[in-house]
Amino acid sequence: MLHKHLLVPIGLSLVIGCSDNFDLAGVNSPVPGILQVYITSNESDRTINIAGQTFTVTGDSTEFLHLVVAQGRAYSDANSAVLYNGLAEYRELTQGYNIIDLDDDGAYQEYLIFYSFLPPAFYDSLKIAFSSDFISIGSFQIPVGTPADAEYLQLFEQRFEIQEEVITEIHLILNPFESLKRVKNTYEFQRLIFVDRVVITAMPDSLKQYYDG
Amino acid sequence: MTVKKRKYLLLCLGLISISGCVENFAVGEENENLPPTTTLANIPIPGDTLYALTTLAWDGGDNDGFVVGYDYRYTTYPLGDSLGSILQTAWVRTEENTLKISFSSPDVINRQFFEVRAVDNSANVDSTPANIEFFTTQTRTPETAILSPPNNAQFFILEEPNVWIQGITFKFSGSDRDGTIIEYGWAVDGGALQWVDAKDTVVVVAPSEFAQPLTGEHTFRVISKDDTYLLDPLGASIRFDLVVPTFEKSIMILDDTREDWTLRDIDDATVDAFYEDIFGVASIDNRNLATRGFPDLFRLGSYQMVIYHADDTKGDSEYFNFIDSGSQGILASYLQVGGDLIVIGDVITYLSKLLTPPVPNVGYTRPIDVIEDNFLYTYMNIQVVNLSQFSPGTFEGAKGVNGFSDVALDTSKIPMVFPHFGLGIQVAGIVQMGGFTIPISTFIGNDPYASNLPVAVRYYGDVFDVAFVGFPMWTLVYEDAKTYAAELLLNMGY
Repeated sequence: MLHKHLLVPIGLSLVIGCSDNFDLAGVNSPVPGILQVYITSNESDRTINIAGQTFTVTGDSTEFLHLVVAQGRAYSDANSAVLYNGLAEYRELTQGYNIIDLDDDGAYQEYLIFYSFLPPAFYDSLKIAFSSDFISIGSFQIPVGTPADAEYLQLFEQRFEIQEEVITEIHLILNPFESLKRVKNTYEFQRLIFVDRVVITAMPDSLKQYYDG
Repeated sequence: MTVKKRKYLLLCLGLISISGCVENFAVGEENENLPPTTTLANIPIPGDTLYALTTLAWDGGDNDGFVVGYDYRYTTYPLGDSLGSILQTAWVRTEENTLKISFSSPDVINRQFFEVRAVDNSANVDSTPANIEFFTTQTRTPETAILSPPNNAQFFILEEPNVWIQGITFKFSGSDRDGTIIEYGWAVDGGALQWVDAKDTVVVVAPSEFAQPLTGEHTFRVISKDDTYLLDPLGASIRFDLVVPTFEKSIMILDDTREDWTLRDIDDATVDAFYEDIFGVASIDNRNLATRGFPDLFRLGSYQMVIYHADDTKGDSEYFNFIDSGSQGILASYLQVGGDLIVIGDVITYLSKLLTPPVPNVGYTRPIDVIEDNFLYTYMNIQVVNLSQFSPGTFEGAKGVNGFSDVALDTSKIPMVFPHFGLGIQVAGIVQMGGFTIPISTFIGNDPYASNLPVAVRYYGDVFDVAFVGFPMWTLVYEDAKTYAAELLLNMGY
């Protein structure tokens, strides 16, 4: 029989022992990495022939090929992460870009289309919804559609790693005019888009504010 | 007895008994395979009078094996006035336990004797098949009709399909007084029947299906099959002409102008001569639609380009050939096979049926949407228009763009009275064009609706080219009209 005067020291030892300072050594939640997805047009695809007339991109303000970017996903096996347009963004937004616009140096503009935190892991693909609805060049303004049998989300098989506090850039390249196939009075957007390169850069400290407590 | 001795004794006894059993085992004669048995379900009731398409069910058993299938047959005894021949089918093998069977029923009433027998795994059959006797009423053959095209129609066609024309479309239907149609069989030029499901009542027959040569007379025939597998013995058929365009001549002018007070009563010959002169092409045929009607496809397909003009101005005139959907269909098919077209005149004004909503001559709202999928929308790529005001006239001429020259109105050709008062009326300013279409002239004049809007456009097609000049060229200053016509032909490769 436990002597009752032993209950106090036993109870005290239990209370002192059950402190909140327990620490599972070696099991910490990782901090995220960042995925940036860029897209630009292929410099070698600058001309289009419409009805026997050849048009070359000059940077004129009337030249416009509207690229619409909707959903984006990064896949690690069967798991996927939603891609957003900004680190503070929480909604999936549809964005439009003039994919034949030129920068100050006369090269095709490059656009950052996704800029998103991701859990550190190895990823094997991206899926992005690209479409187009309109091209204006020369005297022509022509509607653009998506082929009826095209998947909504376009698959890009590319293995890449997201590491803690590291920015991973995936650069996509589009052949803008080679992607246009005439069908009667419209163009079909064939989405000739490829992964050009993957670049790793360190994350600046200023971005840590988004996840530091 | 010791334990050791007891065990030794048991071992010996066991060995002795085993050897005795093995030596005395004898195999007898194999039993003969027993045939299977068959039973029929209790419906239909024997002696009933039924529709010729009837479902029967059966089962079988085998004491020394298992049933692998069934054979069935039936014998038909026509009992009506015709007393036709007795018909017995051959045994038909099936693995099913129930089937819907179409019983031949040529007479008003027919006695049917149905038999079924099981077959076992040794290929043994039930020597006493199960049977049932009942009666079936006469079945009627279905009837077929071709809904379109009509007999003796003409069609343009190409040896190879393109994105605009894949073949000739036929639409048909069938009816059956005592059942339903389950299939249609169609054939062209006496070829083998091609069967399609009953819900496919429209077929597009590709050029390769027709007999050669393509240009010439052809036939299309269709029959229907009902749910008792009876065929329409007559079917429906039509004859029609296919025309592969030759494009051996240059230009045909289709003159739809009615020379009346809106043109200050000029005569037809003067207007004809004007157009022949301004387009100045060596091989040119001028056809007056009012007196000679639309050309047939053999004639139309011999020209590379058609120039259609309607220069008079009236309200919602029904007589314009261009308004007729049949004429539009002919021009559409001409374009689909590679013909080119220039349309001249403020025809849009009179195509109220092509506009949404249908509008009277005056007092409509603007802008006006052109109905999708009609000729104006699909082949001329004009989608939204603003008509210039009805009265007084405001159209003074057109400013050339994209390489075309300015043109001015010759006011001496325009009535000085209501509604014109010396200027053009109701010229369509084009607010929205389709793809691959550019403006070539814009409205000159002080008009609240159409000023500066395109009034002439050029469509660059993948198979055909079209130019639309939305004002009467007869009313232009002669030199301007001649220059403009030459620019049109040059631009379109003529």
